[in-house]
Amino acid sequence: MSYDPGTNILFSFRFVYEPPKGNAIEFRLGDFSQVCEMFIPAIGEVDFSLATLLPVSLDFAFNEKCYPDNQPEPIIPKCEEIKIYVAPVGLVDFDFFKPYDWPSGTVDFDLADCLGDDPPEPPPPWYVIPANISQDFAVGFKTGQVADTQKRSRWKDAPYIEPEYRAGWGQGEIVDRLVKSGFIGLPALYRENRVAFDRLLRSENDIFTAWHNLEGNDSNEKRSIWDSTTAKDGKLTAGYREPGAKDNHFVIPWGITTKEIDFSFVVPWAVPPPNDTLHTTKWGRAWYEKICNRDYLPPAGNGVVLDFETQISDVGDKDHIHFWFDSLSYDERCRHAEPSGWRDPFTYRPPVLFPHTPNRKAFTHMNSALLKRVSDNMPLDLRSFEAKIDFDSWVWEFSAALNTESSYAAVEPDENGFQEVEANINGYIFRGLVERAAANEERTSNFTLSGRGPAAELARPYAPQSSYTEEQARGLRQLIEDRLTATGWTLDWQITDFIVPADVVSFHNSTPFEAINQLTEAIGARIQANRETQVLQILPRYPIKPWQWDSETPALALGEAVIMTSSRDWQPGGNYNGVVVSGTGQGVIVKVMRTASGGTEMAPMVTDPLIVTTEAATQRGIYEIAASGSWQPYTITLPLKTEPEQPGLLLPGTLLQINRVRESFRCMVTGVKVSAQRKNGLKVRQIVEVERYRGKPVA
Amino acid sequence: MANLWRKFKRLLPDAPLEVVTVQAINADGTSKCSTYTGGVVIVNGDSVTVGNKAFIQGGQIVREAPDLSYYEIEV
Repeated sequence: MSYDPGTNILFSFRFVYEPPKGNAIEFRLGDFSQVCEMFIPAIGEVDFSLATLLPVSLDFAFNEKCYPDNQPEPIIPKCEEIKIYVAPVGLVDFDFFKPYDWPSGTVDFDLADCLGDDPPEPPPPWYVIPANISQDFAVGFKTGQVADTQKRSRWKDAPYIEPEYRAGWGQGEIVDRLVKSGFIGLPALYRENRVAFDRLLRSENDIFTAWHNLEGNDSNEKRSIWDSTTAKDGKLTAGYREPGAKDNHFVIPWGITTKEIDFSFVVPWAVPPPNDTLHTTKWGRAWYEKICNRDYLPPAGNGVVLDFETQISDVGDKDHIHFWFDSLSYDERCRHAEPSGWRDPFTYRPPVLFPHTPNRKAFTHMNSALLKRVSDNMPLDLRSFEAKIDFDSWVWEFSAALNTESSYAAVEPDENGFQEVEANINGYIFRGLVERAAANEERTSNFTLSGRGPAAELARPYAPQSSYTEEQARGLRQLIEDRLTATGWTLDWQITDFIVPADVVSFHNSTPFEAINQLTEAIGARIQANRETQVLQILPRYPIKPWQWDSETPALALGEAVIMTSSRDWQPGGNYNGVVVSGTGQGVIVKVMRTASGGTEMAPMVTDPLIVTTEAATQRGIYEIAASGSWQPYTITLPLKTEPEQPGLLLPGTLLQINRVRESFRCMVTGVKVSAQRKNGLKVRQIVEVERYRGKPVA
Repeated sequence: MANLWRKFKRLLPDAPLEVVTVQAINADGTSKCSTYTGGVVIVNGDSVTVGNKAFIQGGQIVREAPDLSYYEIEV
């Protein structure tokens, strides 16, 4: 018959299979004269999965033990015909998981040749042909020539094991299943007959000991120790399983030693006695009407008395007339209540914001200091630079040190006049006229320059002097601007202007600066020339009265982090609270006093021809009172930052807030010096003079 | 860094020009005057008649002063 791959060959035996030896399945292959035996372990199903054997081994022609049936010595002949007797208990399943490429020809599973043509060989005595297997399907491979040595079973290399020597213990008799212990009565092992187990590739299932069938010798001597344990004594219970009853009488220690808590104790402030019964403000519409509304009781004559003596701002809503129709005084609440109830007098004032210097542990700044000649922008080799101005100076003064003679020669004054230079220190421009130059050429040459700002051209020795009397009534600003005619300079006017009568202003041999200074000093103002442009600032000496500094907004708050050095001094003063300021030829006499002081401590009288109006007298008076007080000058070294970083350049007149660890106060800048030094790097500082007002407060 | 000239000038005795009112002329050529600050001084000179204003400086009557308008201002 031809075999159809993909079909399972199911060897089903309905009868109980009794293995010939041990618990194995025996495939007995052989012909009539010889028998080939192969053994397949069979516990459960035996699955011949051809897919796993491909392609080397589908040959069932194992090199089994084949021998003539009647010869005890095994020989290895070629199996001409193979018969397989399968008698398992259960199923032997030949699964072909995929089509199999048979090695050659047709694998003929036709058992008819074996079982049909020739007289069927009687099956072994242990074999019982299942009733459901026909002859055509009698197990047996007649065409034994399919035994291909190239496709050997994986068991082919296993050495044959003589049945006699199969058991390691030699000539053991066939174990009778009835003999429960297979080890009893075994003779001593023969070393030469011992099986080398490590060389075995297949297990000898027919001789293994079926443990599940093994019944051990149950004797007292060989009893497992676990069996010999005695019953546990039920009295040996763990102590902690039944702990003793807790002593309910145990008292917490601190319950004994401390006082018993008195729950009747009352926190004193829990129920405070009312303390405002006599001061309760009763208000609301009902109370308003009860308190503030009265019936009008006309006086004799049934008239209405109108009292217009009281100002309208003192009655009612301060914008309409309130009728006071009797002599009784009204409750204070009524003054604020009309018409809709009590008014909150609080007025929100937004917080005053002003810049603060940053508070950092370290500041990083890239300093720059450049100096050049203005005429042709020739850079000069600058070593150090200083520029300063103060409260009593009107123009910047500068000094510079140069490294090279060529730079020095480029700006050295000569018969053609002086050169103008421009310094750029951290972005702040300082222009100056080189009025003096000094060279000291020794082993180490020093070249120094010094001078003033461009405004120096308005003063001696460069400006012309003139004598002049103003014969017309002119404004003060006009008078000053007249002095600047044709100079190119303009004014930045920041003081109160007033009319100056004719024949009051008179100059004698005065330069423009001297004339302007005469006018400004008369009214307590000062001049400050711009450091870069041709602008003269006319400023009050005290833009804010010093006794009001604490209530004004400063321009900047200096923190501790930016203050490098600080020193302070004390400058005593007269602490006057008033002064009489008078004109001389015409004008006014004004007693200027601090508010609410009454002028109890008057400064010496001040007279000046320019005190021609109260505006002039007031400005001068403020200056005199302020200057007469005690002052505390501070000298503070600060970095000079490029704006908008703070602190920038602090000019005189700037109101500052100084916030230090131990004190905080307001002060005004009265002088500043900018210093740039090239020594181990470029260091730029500004040394600021500030003055803290310590005048006597008004009692 | 304070202006040295200013600091030095403060130390010098000042002789301001002051306006007074002549109250009396003494026989010795001096005049008794009242100041605007509330004091009374006797100065040399008798050129200004009683009741008029006079400029005094350094204890001397300099000249007669105009009678200017008087104001009091609080600052």
